[in-house]
Amino acid sequence: MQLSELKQQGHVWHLNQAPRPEQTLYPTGFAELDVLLGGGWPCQQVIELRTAFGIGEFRLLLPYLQQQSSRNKLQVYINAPAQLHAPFLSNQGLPLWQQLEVRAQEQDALWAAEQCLKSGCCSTVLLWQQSLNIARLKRLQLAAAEGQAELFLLRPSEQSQLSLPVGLSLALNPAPQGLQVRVLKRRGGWPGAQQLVNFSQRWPRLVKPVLSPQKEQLTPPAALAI
Amino acid sequence: MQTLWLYLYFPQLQLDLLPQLQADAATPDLSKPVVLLHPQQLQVQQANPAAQALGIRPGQSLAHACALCAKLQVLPWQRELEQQLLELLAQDCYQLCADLALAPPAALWLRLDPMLQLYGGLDSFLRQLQQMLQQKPGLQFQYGGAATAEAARLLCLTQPGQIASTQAAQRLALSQCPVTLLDLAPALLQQLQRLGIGQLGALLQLPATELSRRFGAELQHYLQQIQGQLPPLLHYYQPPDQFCARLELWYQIEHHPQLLAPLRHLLQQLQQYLQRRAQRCYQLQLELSLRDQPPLCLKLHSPQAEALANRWLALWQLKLEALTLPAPVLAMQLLASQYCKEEMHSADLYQGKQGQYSPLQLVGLLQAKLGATQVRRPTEHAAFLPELAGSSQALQQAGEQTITPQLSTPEMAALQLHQPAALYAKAVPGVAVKTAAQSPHSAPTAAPLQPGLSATPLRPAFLFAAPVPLQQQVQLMPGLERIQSHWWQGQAQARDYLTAQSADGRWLWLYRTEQQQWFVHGVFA
Repeated sequence: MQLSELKQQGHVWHLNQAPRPEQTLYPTGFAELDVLLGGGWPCQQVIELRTAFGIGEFRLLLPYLQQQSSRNKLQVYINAPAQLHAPFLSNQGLPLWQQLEVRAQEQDALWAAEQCLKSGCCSTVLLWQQSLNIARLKRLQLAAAEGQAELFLLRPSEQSQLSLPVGLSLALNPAPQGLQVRVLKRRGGWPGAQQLVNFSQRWPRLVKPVLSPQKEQLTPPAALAI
Repeated sequence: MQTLWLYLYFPQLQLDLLPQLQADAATPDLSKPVVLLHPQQLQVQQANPAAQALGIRPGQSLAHACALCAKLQVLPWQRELEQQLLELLAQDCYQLCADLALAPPAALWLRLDPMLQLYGGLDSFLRQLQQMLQQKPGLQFQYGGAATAEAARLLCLTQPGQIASTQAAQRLALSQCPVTLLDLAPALLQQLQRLGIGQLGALLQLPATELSRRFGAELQHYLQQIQGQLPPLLHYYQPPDQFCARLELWYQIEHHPQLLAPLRHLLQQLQQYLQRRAQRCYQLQLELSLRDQPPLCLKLHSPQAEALANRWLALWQLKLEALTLPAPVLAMQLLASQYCKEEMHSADLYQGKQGQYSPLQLVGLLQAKLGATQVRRPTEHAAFLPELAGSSQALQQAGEQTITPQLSTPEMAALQLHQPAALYAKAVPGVAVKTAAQSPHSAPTAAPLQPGLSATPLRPAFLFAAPVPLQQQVQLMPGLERIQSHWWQGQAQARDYLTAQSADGRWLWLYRTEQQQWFVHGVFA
């Protein structure tokens, strides 16, 4: 195998192209995830999250979104699988005026994401998208750098045929105490690392209870067939 | 007080401005002979220099003109277009002179005497006027000035470029003016000529009483207007309150990309109109006249009021992309509404790189492409039922305040305080449920001490627009919350909300109705 091929696939990289230590990283709000990602979310990048809908992927981004809301820029949600619930957002301290929901067809959604990233008035764009080709992704990356915005690309985990040249790609899987995060690809790092992000501190009601003998008597029948 | 009038005449108005109307390949080549033909009288109305060199003059019949030049290009002369062009010129001249009146089809009257003090004399005024008119390349004009409006007209037609500012000079200058130019009934003119009165000077020498006895009061009044003894009967021009411009196309347009060139022309007129008034507008309406079809009306709204033609054109481009024309377009009309004052924003020099768009411009862009209802913002209401407490609202007719930071007013704070989502929280045996009444509402301070037992009830991040019947096996979590609708909200509903995790690890927000039916209402994500 040629070296250039290896470089192209990201198995070999130049150290001088590795992310410099001064490159700004946004802390994720979860200490164990910060360790996994070498400090936090890389800024002005496209970050791919392979995840099912509803396992806690939005709560994983929530500390980041809360921290970004102080920039007084928009946070755009494109083609979210369901509509955002305003009481939740305001409870979490996200100002509602910053939140923008956009619905569009597949191609228009990519266009909208690019415009939002480029505009310079958005801090974060969350895009739920099934299919994406490499050329469109490169455009999105350039747009993110131009507008100093961050794009989170949320894709279903089963669509794993095409690996995209993103800076960071994570696979999220449900775990009893939170989320199991596995690095699929990371610029300047090796893939394959895994880490359990524990939600039991932040979201005690959204983790599986650790069954202690006393509590066990109190809980109702665990599984309910309907 | 001595008045001074200027008569500004554009002999070839429509023909001169033809290339500017549609900068397009379909415009006729003006280096070749071109004439505009009066559609009813079938006479040449205007002829370009190439045609005039061949001996074609306005007033000739079509047959005559064609005999002089076989390759003559003939276009229709449009009265409405001429009027529209004249009004555009009036708008331009209004920037220089406050009192002006239209003299259709192709001339303007300007009253100069109130303006001379501002400009410091007639010469500097005329210089500015010429400078302004020369900005329209190819536009021919001639003027004449005199102490009365009608005399200025006669002077402009007989001796272009001359200014006779006193009565005596005016009388001298007009003495040779042929009576055929006078604005009188043709029968009267014929009568004068048969009497051998060929020039205005001879007419004015006749005693006034004799003239009125013989020719009636009409002539008498007219002569008094020329001499300044009666004021002129003119309607002074007022600039329009609303922008409305129409463009007849020379050819039929069948595809939307071709619409952009004529649209740009209209938008530039709009830009000029708005900039002169230091205004911007929120909404444009484009009416396309179609062949054999009722006209098509398109509306475009920009949350950030715009004045610049380029910005509007970018929005129209997105809007028109989605359009398929049912029939070829013959004409287009642009109407602007909802104006606001132009406000100058100053950007912070030290803030670093500035964005390409403002948030409102971004919203406008997305709305133009995707449709106004596709861009939404989550909003919160004081209600108990979750679907009412949080809904998403289309950003339509959104003003500045909806997308800029809002200060929390005391009312807003009070509103949030009275908004516990749980009206009744019932403790089921063995499950500890905090009710809204038990917990203090000072949640932010209490939360770090008792994580998870914050006063605000747990709410999902995403809510389904319509609850989905539960069709999978789930594991229920402890904790139950009852939410009831108000008695005045039609059918009373009482729902028991529960948190559950499905077999594939998704966190769902379920409820059970009083009829023991189960629905998924939200996802915690």
